[in-house]
Amino acid sequence: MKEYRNKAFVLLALFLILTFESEGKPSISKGQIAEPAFNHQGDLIYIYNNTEEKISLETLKFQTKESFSLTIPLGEKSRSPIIKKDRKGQIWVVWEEWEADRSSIFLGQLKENKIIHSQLIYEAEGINICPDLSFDSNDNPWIVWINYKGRQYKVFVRESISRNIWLINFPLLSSAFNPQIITDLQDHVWVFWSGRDNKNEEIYYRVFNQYDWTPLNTINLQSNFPQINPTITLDGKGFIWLAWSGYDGKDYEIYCKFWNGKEWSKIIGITDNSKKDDSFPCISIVSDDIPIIAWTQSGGEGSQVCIKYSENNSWSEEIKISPKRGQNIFPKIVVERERIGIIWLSQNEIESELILFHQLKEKKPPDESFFKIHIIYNPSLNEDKYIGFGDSITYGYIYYEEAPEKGYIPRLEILLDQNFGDTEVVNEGWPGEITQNGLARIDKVIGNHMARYLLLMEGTNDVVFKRISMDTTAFNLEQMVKRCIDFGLFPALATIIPRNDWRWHREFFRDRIFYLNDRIRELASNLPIPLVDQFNLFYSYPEEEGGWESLLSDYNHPNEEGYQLMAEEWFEEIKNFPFPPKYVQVQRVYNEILFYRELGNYISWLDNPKIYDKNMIKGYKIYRKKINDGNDQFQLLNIIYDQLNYFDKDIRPSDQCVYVVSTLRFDQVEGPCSEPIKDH
Amino acid sequence: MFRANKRSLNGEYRRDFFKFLIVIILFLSIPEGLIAYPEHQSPIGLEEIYYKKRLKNESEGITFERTKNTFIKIFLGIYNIQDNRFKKIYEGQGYISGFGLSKKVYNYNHHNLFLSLDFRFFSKKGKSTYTREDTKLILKPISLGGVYMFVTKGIIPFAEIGSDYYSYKEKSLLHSTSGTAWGFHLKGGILIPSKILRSLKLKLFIGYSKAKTINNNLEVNLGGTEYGVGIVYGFDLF
Repeated sequence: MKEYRNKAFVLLALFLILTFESEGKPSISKGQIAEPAFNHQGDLIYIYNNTEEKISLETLKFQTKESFSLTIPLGEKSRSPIIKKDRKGQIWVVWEEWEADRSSIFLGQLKENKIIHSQLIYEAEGINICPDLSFDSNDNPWIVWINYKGRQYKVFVRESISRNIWLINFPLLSSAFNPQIITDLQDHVWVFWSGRDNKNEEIYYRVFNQYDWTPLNTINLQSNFPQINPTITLDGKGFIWLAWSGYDGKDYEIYCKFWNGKEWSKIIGITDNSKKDDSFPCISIVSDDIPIIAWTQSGGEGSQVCIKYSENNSWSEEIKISPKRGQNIFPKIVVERERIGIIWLSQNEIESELILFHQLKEKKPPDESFFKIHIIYNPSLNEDKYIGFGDSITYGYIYYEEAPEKGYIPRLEILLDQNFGDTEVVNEGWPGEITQNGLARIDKVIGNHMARYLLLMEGTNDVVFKRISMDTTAFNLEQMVKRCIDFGLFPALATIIPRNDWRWHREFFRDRIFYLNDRIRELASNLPIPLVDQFNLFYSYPEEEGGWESLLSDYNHPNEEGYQLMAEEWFEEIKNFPFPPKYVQVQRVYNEILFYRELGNYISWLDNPKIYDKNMIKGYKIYRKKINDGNDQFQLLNIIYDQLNYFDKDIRPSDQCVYVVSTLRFDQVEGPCSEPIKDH
Repeated sequence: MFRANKRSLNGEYRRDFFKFLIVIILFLSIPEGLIAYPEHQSPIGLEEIYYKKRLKNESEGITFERTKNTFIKIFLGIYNIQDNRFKKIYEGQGYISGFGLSKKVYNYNHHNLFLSLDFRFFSKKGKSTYTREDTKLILKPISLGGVYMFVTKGIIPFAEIGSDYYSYKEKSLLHSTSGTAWGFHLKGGILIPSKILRSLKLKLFIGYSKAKTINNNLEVNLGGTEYGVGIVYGFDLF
């Protein structure tokens, strides 16, 4: 008996110890985007896999643009959540639940930021992925997903209530991706996916007419090139709109067609270009009858999210939605009446835009020629040299007398010397100059001095001349800024100060000053470059200390106190310039874990010691070109946050590359590039 | 709240568990006299000498401490993988835990020989050398060894030599790999009997192992030094 007891003890102990073993968590991709939706309050919500491998729900207030994030209590192995709203406005979630080598599909309702009534949809062996859902007229959920097992991709559809499950892509099981499901006004269930029948990928679909499924159909392109990424929506008449990405022999373009209740329309080409790849479309409908498509447009400089809409049978121009270059991909669009919410993935972060349709229509296509400037790069410029560019206020006038030694330029130079060491500030103020003159001489000025920074404050004299519109002045200032950037200078812009002559008391002239300053602020924000609001500095000067008039020596020019304040205001902004990173180094190294290694260039740098407040640094932009390429060939590699290094693994061993790094502020102001560093 | 976490002893774990159970049962079935001579038979050769010496000892009233024929043990140790690349990525040592069985196969006076079967588990998190991406190494070594034990009434010293079979897995967003490796180990230590329950012993040990493997053209030595503490329970089985 004792023997048996001993044996039992041994086995029990072994069993207990065995169950102690724990496995590592499966890795989850960072920031996967789900479908967005508008909640009852009209705020944009979306669910995604966050970087801590959990599911987060983000709520973005439409009015205030405030956002709130909270973690949804789903299992740690939940992935790819999709949210959809039924006809009553209830939000549903469908997601994948991963185990070691299999995954299941689950469905639940999102209520008060919790998942309720969750149910297992499909648990057969293999991997079940890419779920999508739609609702019939009774708000019964219909779910589609892909089951992958034994090298076969099966598209399954399940009616949630009846628990009926159909395999709908037989016999074309060799490939199936991106299944999309939608129910039309007749309660017909449409399912689309991209699949392959020995040739290229094509868009397939089948329709469930409440009794049976129609035969397997294609959108009948018979193309020699792949057609992928289907996306569907329903317009106010109940017509199905389908958009997708297809290769045209040169690159990917966006196409669309719609079902008018009897037949498909002809294919509508949404894009037609030869050097940009257009992909990952997402379609929705504004105000019941205006189709709107968002997609990713990729070129040599990165990718941007673009939008087009069709009004009165005419498609709009492309509207760029993503605010910056870099990788902006996988846009998702959701519309509720006139409200449009767009989310996309940008450098592993999810970005969003909330806009009303009429605001979208007012968006002008960006000036592409300017965006091609990209970087502020000229390694031959002097980092410790500044140019003060402007009119008599920059030159230094007091009581209408020349006083350059008492202006803001020498005062600023003292401040810079004290804080940054030996610094030169060149006085390029020309008394009486209007911006048109400034535009004419700026090239020569920047070429002569070879300074890294230019402080631009001009326009006071333009205000006087009624024949010069303030839009022209703003344009001239913009051109001066662009020429600086072209040359590799980093410009900062200032508003013009108030004047105390008779013109100030005439509404016409006063409004010109206000309007020009508004344009200058807008210009600085759009370009974007640093802004020094000298007008605001003066105008808000306390009345008890004499008010802004007390800072002027004559009608137009500051007195010494005014110049001192101006110098200090310039310095406050210069302290926050995104100075280029220092000590940039590059090494060709292996990035290793124990059983794997990859060759790449490891670029490291340090913050420029001139930067006072490091909290204003959002990140760093890394650019690369091949050693024999021209300076205009630098391409953005990545934007790095919270670290001072980057591993570039996208190289060939024989490549010889040059890197530069720039500092990026939270307000998107990008500084000049660092010294170029070669990788050999 | 619903949580779909149903990974229990099913599927591959169930199969592994049954395999494991068969190994344990076979191991426990090893009789104590596998290489020792049966006491009721007359031995020959060298063993005859030992036999006669034992009879002489017994006739003179000299007795020797006798251990139980089966030990079960659990232990926890510090495992220090010697591979330089491991040190760089995983930064030093980690805990190794495990359990095992020892079955006596021979004894003469103070001298005892055991066969030992150990199952161990080692897991450590690290970061890739430059991008600092998370990586995790999991080792599951199985060791079969011969243990010599000099049994006294007090502290029992032991030495072990044996072979190891490593199952390893490295998980990272960079790359995930799994594989196996063979190696060997040397181990030594002492067993300290409990004053209250003599079948229970405290085990202190140090060890050295070597297990080279090549994966993705990278040679890695998964072996290293190890020291730790364990609890051993002895009983007679078969």
